[in-house]
Amino acid sequence: MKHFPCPKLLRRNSTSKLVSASLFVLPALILVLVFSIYPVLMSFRYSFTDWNGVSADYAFVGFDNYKNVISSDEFKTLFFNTFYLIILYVPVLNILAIFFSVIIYDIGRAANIYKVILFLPNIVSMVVVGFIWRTIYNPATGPLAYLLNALGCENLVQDWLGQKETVMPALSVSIIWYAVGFYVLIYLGGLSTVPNELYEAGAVDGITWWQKLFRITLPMISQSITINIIVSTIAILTLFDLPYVLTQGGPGYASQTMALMSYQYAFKAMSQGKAMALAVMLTLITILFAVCELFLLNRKEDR
Amino acid sequence: MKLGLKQKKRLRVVLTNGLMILVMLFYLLPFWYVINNALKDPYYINIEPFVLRPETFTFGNIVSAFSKMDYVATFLNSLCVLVLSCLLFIVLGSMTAYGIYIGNNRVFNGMYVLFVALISLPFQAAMVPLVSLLKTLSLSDSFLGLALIYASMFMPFIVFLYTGFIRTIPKELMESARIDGCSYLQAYTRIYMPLLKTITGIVLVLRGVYVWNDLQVPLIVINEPSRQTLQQRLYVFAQSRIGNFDLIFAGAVIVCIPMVALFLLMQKSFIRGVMAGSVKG
Repeated sequence: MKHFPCPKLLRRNSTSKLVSASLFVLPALILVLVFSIYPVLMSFRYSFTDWNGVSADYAFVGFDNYKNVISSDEFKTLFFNTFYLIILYVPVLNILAIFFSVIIYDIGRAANIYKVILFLPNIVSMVVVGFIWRTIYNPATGPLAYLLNALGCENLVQDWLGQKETVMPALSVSIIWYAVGFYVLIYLGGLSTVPNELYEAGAVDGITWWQKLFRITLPMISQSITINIIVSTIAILTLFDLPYVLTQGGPGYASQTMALMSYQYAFKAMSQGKAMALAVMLTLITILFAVCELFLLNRKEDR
Repeated sequence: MKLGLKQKKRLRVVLTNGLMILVMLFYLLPFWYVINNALKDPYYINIEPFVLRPETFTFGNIVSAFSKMDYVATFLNSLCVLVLSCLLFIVLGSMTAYGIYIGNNRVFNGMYVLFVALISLPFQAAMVPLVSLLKTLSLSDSFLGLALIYASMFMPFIVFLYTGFIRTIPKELMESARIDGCSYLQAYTRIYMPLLKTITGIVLVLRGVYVWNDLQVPLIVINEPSRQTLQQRLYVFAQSRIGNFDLIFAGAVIVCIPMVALFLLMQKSFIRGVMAGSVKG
């Protein structure tokens, strides 16, 4: 072809290529523009108005919605819970997931059963998992109270979901129970890319299990760690179903998260302005954390 | 006494398996608790919560939950939403990746970056205007409305997966197809779609399960009780029967059965799908 330059044909060819390419991209682009980007921009715009979600007219009210959200009683708890989940839940989830995946990776024959069972909560829905854990935590009729009574530890029985002090840990345990299997599978995917020669070389040098973990495994799966930390941060910030079924943010506002609260502002309290202001804040926080983590972890990877 | 290398290894196998079995108990006990109580005479649920005896066994709870939840109709609703959503995922996702692949210039790469950037956008940010948008398009209470929301929600991630995969296919394939007189559409349907089969499976596993199990989107889109999805129906059903553990457990079990059965039948593909999806990511 190169020996017979034929610019006109080539140009027509490349135009038709670009036209076809555009036609293939267009449907999804329109879909995302209409159902994601447009509503998000509208949220941003309406968060500065007193629009109620239904009526045609509205007035701009400046930062009033944001002020209302920040000065509300529940905001302090919201803020605290958001950081609780990021600073406590995300590391605990990831450490557990790495631990399980490293164990499962060289456990041999039974590995498949462990994987299936750990992943099972992801297959039954969060609604079901929520109801399961609501019954488990029930202090009067639940199985946890039953087991503690049977073991003679009656004084440990508490209304785990009904007390401000215990509700966040209790909620986190059930979320970890639900989520860890997914992250274990991702770490296992990462582990399967680590070349076996490294472990063999390590074994020849006679390294211990911990040395193997910290010197070979963790550095080699640092990419999976980065992905999982960012994915789990986004997932926990936007998680809705499980806390909604389990606590609805209660007691009071003690287990309220931003995702839950913005739903309740919008569809229970009918204060759309506050809902969108909070959703905009949630978006900014999510992006902020994702970008910061990406930046920090990438720098660590490069070292 | 010093342990030999072999004994040490055996000890570790025993220890790790023992630990994992304890963890598995922590996972299986809650499931057993729900399943055995769903099949138990309600009177015995609080008396012997972990034991199921032939004398206390009954199908009554299941039958009663089945009819009270209007299970068949609700199941069909969920199935409709799932099929519509998955069709949109696969067709639009692969088309977009293919367009980016053949376009292959700065504009199309920019579009790819736009899609990837949208992955971290929380659904809550679009939630309130979406409800009024659906009303304007007269799509409230419709399965298509639900499917379109899921498709737009997950399209960034799906495009990311498909594009990552399609970019590993050498360009020469397209050139030779073009020389053979294939149009771009023909190359897409006959050559590239079959090559994308693996990634399509991954998309179905990763996002199909999510759609089937989701509560949040139906909660804001579907108000008409006869159009509720399974999860939504279970939520409403259990919420209105707090304390009736026999019915709640039975409802939970029948809602889980279809997806759990599918998972257990195809566990290898499910697990490989999730693992592969992450390696590609």
